[in-house]
Order: sequence, then C-alpha cells, then structure tokens
Amino acid sequence: MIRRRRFLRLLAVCGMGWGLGGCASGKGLRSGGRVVVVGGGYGGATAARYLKQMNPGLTITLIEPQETYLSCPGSNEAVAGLGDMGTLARSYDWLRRELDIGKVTARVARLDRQRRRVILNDGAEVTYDRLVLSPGIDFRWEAIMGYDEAASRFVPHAWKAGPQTALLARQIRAMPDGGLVLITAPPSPYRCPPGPYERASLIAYYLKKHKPRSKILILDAKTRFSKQPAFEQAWRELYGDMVEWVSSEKEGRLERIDAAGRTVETEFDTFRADVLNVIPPQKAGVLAEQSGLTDASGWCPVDPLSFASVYDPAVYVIGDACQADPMPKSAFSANSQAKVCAAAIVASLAGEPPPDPLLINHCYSFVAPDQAISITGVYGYSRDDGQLIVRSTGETPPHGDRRREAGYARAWQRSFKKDVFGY
Amino acid sequence: MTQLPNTHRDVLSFVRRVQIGTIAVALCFQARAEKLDTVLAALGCLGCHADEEEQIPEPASLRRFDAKEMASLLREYREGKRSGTVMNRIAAGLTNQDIEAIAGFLGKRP
Repeated sequence: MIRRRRFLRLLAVCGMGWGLGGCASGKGLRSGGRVVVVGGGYGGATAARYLKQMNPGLTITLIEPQETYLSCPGSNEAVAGLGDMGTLARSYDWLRRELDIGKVTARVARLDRQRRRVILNDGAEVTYDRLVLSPGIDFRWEAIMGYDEAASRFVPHAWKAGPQTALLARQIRAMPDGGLVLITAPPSPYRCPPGPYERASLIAYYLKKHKPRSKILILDAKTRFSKQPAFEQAWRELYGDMVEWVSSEKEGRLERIDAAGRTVETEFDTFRADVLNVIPPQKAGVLAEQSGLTDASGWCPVDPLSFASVYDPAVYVIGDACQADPMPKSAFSANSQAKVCAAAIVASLAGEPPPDPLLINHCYSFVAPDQAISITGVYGYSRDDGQLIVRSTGETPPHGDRRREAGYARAWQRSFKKDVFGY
Repeated sequence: MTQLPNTHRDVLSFVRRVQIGTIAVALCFQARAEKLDTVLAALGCLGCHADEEEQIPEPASLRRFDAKEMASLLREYREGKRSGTVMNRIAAGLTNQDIEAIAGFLGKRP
C-alpha cells in the first residue's frame, strides 16, 4: 500500500500529471499554479481532488461555507423517513489530509475577475490562476406569486439537503391519514430531473404503510418527465392510484401559492394540501449571476470541451450551474464534468489544449426502498459544432429488474461518495 | 494516516507505463493528448465501480479483471452478447479505442 507522501513523491519523480509527458516535454504538466474551487458539493469536491491527483504541483484551495456536505442523492429517502440523514454527510477531512487541499470554510462575497481574486465575506482575498465555480442552484423566488424564501421556512422546497429535508420529513410524519401531499414540480432545466417523481414514490411507500387513505398529487410545470414510463408503471404496480401526476396541459400555469393556507391555485383549479412541497423554478447559484457568468437563461454558458466560461477563459463552471446540454443536471454529471474540467485546467496551465472529453451521466431513482429505476447517457464532443453530443442513452425498460437495480443504486451511493470525498 | 485506495496505485503504474510510451512516440503531441483522454474515459467508471476488493458481488469491483477480460466484457455488453442493466447502455456509447483505453487503465496488473 502506498501512503500519500510516497504517492506524491513518486508522481513528482515522474515529473508529470496523468498521462501527459512531463518528463518528455520538460516542465510539462508538473508546472505549478493556483487553482481555487468555489463550492464543495459533488462538482467542486471532485474537481479539487482530481486537479491535485492529476498534478500534485498545483496549490488547490476549496472554498465552501459548510464543514460537512449533505448529499442530495439519498435525501428523498430521508424525506420519507427511510434513511438516516447521517449517511448523507461527508466531511472534507480526507481531501485535506491525504491530498493537502486547502479547505477554507467561508462564504464568497464576490469575485474580482480582473485581478483574479476571490473575495471572502470577511474581506480576505484568495488569488487564482484558474478558478472553478461549482455553485449549484439557486431559486427564482420571484417566479411564483406567494412563495418566497420566508414561505419556504414552513412550506419546504427540500431541494437542497439539510434542514429543509428534515422539515418536509417531519410534516409528512405529522400528516393525518387521508391527507393530501401536494408536490409542485418545476419547469426544465432544474437540478435532478427525476427527483420530484422519486420523492413522490418514496412518500407513497411510507403512506401506503402508515396512512393508506392518503393521496399524493404532483402538479407539474411540464408536459412529460424523466423516466416517465418506468415511474408510472411502478406507481400503478406498487401504489395503485395513490400517486396522481397532472401535466401542465391539464391544469395550466401555477398562478399563486398561499403558503399559510397550504393552497395552490392553477389557471383552472384550487388545491388545498396537508403537506405542500414547492420545488421552485431554478437558476445558477447567485454568485455566478453576480459575477456576470450567466446569460439570459440564468445558467452559465461554457465551452463543453473544457467547461471554461464563454465570458472568462480563467473561470470554469461545472455542475448544475453550467449549461452542458444534453447532459441533465445531476450529481453524476457534475462529477463527470469536474474530471473533464480538471484535465483541461491541468493541460491549460501547461500550455496544452484540453483533451477530448468522454462524459457519463447515470441516475438511479428509488421507487420503493428495494426497487430502483435508472437512466443513462454517454456523451462525447463534436469538434464540428463545438457541442456535446449523445453517444448512447437508455433507461430501465418496462419490466426491468428493479430489485437488482436497487442493489446497484445502494452500491453507487457508497462508491460515488468515495470517488468524490475519498471515503 | 489512512491507506490510499487502489486508484492511486493504478495511477502510479499507469504513469510509469505511459511515460515510457510517451517517449516511444517521440513527443508526438496528439499521442500525448490521447493519453489524457484515456484517463478521462476510465475515470468515468469509478463513479459506480469500486476499484478495491469488495465483498459485494455487484456492481463488480474493477480489481477482478485484467485488461483483456475487461475489454472483452465491455465488447460483449456493447454487442448485446451479455445482458446487464446499465452496462449495455454505457458500452453502446464506447468506441473500440475507448474500450482499449479503459481496460488498459483500469485492468488488473499481472
């Protein structure tokens, strides 16, 4: 077994990063450089890790306000009282200890892109040669009349894991039998396309067991959704008519929410819920917006070859905040993009062009604690039009082996965290 | 200090081998760029598969296969000769070059 120091020393002796010929081309990829990563979720933590592993000569600083990260994948199980929130948590200790990544626990006040500095809330400044932004999502609070951040304190969105997850879980436990759980699903694009439907499935599992006269209604801003055939089949087979999905074609626009009364008004109807879960329309994390890295869509346009911002070649945006069509906004996508971005930065600091990317997305959704469905995509880069292209895609077929996939999904939850946080 | 996962050992032996390979291709720029592509293709697998000895049977730990076995499994998945849940979908997006690269990077060292 090789310990960290030996590993770093051996790489240093080779004088190179992965695969690129440092020894052969003098300084090569062992060139130093300061890379700052803002955001310690799946995207940012993966980028920090692989930047350091691809070139141990880099100084990596990871800026993230939380000491402990809580995983969004797995949080729907916690909502339905099926999982322990503790299993969602990961610290940055391994990255700090094993890879000498500097973790700064602070909020970023703003970026000074001209001077290549990140300015923290306490006024401290961190200088970078390359900056990776992985700020995740923020909500368009102005998009739904009657639903804002204050309202979310008692009508949760639970779309960022943490206190919101726990609040929604408590409300579902406290709900009377025969009650209505109403979930409003947002328009695309948004974080975790199949997430609202996995959530409905797992809540249905809980309700069927403990409050079997209850109902779940999903009011959708869309006319179709991710893994729809597999979800609808699972709902019929497992929960009868407990879960009802309503397309925007039927109910029209979501007009207004009365958070105190837990009431939702659409163009044609009014619904009163016992538990109301509003998943609002989304945009890139506000830091990206404030830093001038978003376009009119609210998301960050990037060159998918490297994930460099189209507005600033020294700033790279990965994860939910970037536009990487046709990849969905998922933890797996963020992890895959982070690896591509890390390789591109390592190459760029050595004055080399980025390598051709191969990207993967793979998302499991639990429809019951022991049954899961999935969707998969493999993506390449087309030099002709400078865009990502789908190389292959697929999802769980009707009558797929949902129990086997559930076993894989559990294994994925563990190995994925290990690939990102090291344990 | 905890022990590093096996990825790091793979990286080391890979780096050594590539270095030799790189010199052999006489600093061909394109050839070196392809090497980094190789690493990227292979890293995608680690999102799901452990690269250590695992007690769980599935998804298979990548420790189990040498490069030849891994390449032939990936081809069987791609061509539908072996049926899985996810692997057929992923392998469908891989070229022969990807498969050789992934297997060469992640396959067990003799």
